Amino acid sequence: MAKRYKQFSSKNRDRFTRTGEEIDYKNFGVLQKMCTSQGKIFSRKRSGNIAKHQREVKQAIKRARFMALLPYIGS
Amino acid sequence: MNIYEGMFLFEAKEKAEWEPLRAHALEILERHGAKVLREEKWAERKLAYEIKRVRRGIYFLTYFEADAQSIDAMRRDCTLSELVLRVMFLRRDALPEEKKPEEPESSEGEAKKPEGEKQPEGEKQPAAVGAESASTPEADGDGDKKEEKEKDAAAE
Repeated sequence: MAKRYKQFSSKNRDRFTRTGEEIDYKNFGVLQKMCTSQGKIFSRKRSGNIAKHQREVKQAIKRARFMALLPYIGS
Repeated sequence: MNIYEGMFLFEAKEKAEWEPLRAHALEILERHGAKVLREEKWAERKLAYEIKRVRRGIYFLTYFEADAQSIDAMRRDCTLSELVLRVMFLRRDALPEEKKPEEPESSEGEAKKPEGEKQPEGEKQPAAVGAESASTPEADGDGDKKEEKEKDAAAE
């Protein structure tokens, strides 16, 4: 396991720093990748987001859910 | 006066006309003294869940300038309106640049991603600190993991 960690430490695991994608509830295609198929939000450990982006993602997902762009409970 | 982003959700009926819905939304905004800066029909798509037995919805995106006090009144009017299923007002610091709606006609929303899919390496799901515990039954997620594992094996 320790080996695994090392392999990824060099790369930036945060999707939004890497690609510069906007975190917005309208960009729900990206937000969907931050969720399980059940609709739960991935942990930072799982998604690799930095804290700031994870907070923004959390907010955006909740907004997208309200507007019925993302499910509260997935299939 | 602040700049706000208003997103309206209407029912997408079979033969309903778009114009009255749009007019209805703009009327609510203007009734409370908002100055509409931009408006667009953002998308028409299947909803993630049913709202009042409605499965398909039309999204109407507006940017407008309004007083902070008037927002509450607008929201109340929208709740009382039978046409508006959902509404959300967000304050924006500035008017965002004009850009193409990414997938306006897509009904599923996950059919294709417009951008950011190019990098083959970086795009992979960060495999698996706990890939076993975080069970994600999606097919492609598993595929990624498998690929990562193969890569790991190759690296070693």
